Amino acid sequence: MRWSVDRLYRNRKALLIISGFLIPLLLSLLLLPEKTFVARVLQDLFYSPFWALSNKVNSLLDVYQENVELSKEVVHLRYERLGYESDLIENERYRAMINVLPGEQYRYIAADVVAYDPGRRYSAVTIKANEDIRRFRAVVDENGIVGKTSSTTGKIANVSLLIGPNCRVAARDKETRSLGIVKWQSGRGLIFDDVAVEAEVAVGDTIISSGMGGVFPEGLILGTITSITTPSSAFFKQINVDPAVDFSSLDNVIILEPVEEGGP
Amino acid sequence: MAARVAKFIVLAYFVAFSQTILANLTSIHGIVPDFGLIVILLIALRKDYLVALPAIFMCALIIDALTPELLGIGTIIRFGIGVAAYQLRRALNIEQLFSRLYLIAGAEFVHQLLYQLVANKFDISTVGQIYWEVSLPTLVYTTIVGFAAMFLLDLEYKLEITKRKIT
Repeated sequence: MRWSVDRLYRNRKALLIISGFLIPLLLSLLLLPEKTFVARVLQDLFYSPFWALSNKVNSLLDVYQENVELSKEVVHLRYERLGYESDLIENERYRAMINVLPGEQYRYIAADVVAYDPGRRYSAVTIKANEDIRRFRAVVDENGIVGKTSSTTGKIANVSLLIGPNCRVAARDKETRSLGIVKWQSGRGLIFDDVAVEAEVAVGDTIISSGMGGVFPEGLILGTITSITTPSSAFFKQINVDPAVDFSSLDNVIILEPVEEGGP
Repeated sequence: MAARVAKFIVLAYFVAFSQTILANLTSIHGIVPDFGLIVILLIALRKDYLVALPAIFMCALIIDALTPELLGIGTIIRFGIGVAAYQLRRALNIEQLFSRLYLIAGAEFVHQLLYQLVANKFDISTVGQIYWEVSLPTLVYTTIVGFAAMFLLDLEYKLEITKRKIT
């Protein structure tokens, strides 16, 4: 016995090598269910912690990736919603404009205010449309007359605003039908001029375009009378008008293009 | 004894780690370095047979557990390669750069060839195709990673020796 142990000890290297080949050889001779059982035991013992960790990391990475994608989508949708909201507001404004505008004789060209004239702030703006714009066309928004196109370059035009020196509109008192001209006068602001002293006008009356002069159609709102003075030796009243349009927040406007006979 | 057992356990889990997480992290288009074989070669080249042979056997068996159908065969192949590397290490001048490259590439070549032959029931055409598409890229990748690992371990070893000389 002792002799055998000594011999084995002396040949332990060979023993290890033989065992190293013999054990797997025996394993390879097992049937598949038995092999699967042995493999599963080894997997449970050594691999399961790493698989669990790997699954956790993968799921975290998936969540992270999903989070990144969702964040992108949120930003995209937010911008899209802003776009829709802007379109909705624009749509409502144009709808309001169409409701107050003259129908059959004019074609509407939608345009956006793209710049204020830096040298003449509040007296001229630049607008841009999707089609060519012509000179001397009425420009309106949902509140009333904005001005008229003064110079154009294709789809871009300068608009002389009602509150500037280059725009005069033949007008009348909506209630009493008294005629006059609405214009800007330096130092006085927007005035309803050339109204005879005997004409019947009152503070709070609405001033509308009379349709005379050709550029502005009849019935567009210009503003409201805020004060009336009648100098003793004058022929005309001095009437101040508060413009209907808010010129500090111009955005979407409509250009009224007269429909020519036989034209579009 | 306890320290040796602990080292074996750490080695076993390192092999499992290399076959799962490390393999996933280093996978390039589905090609993964054969970390198991690299570990086996490192053990065969650096350890005494009393440690090396059981460690190689254990590593081979743990790697083999991933393919229950071929359980045993893979262990025999890997153990055989490990034993051959151990026996050849005195004959090989492994300090030489190319010796290591040849050793890793040769071991992986033999391993892939034998394993694919057994796995595909000695169907030479299938083995040839798999060898070309999978085994050769794996061989190249394993050789690069294995050589890098050996280089780094040697560097660490040389640094340790230098430190000892200084102190």
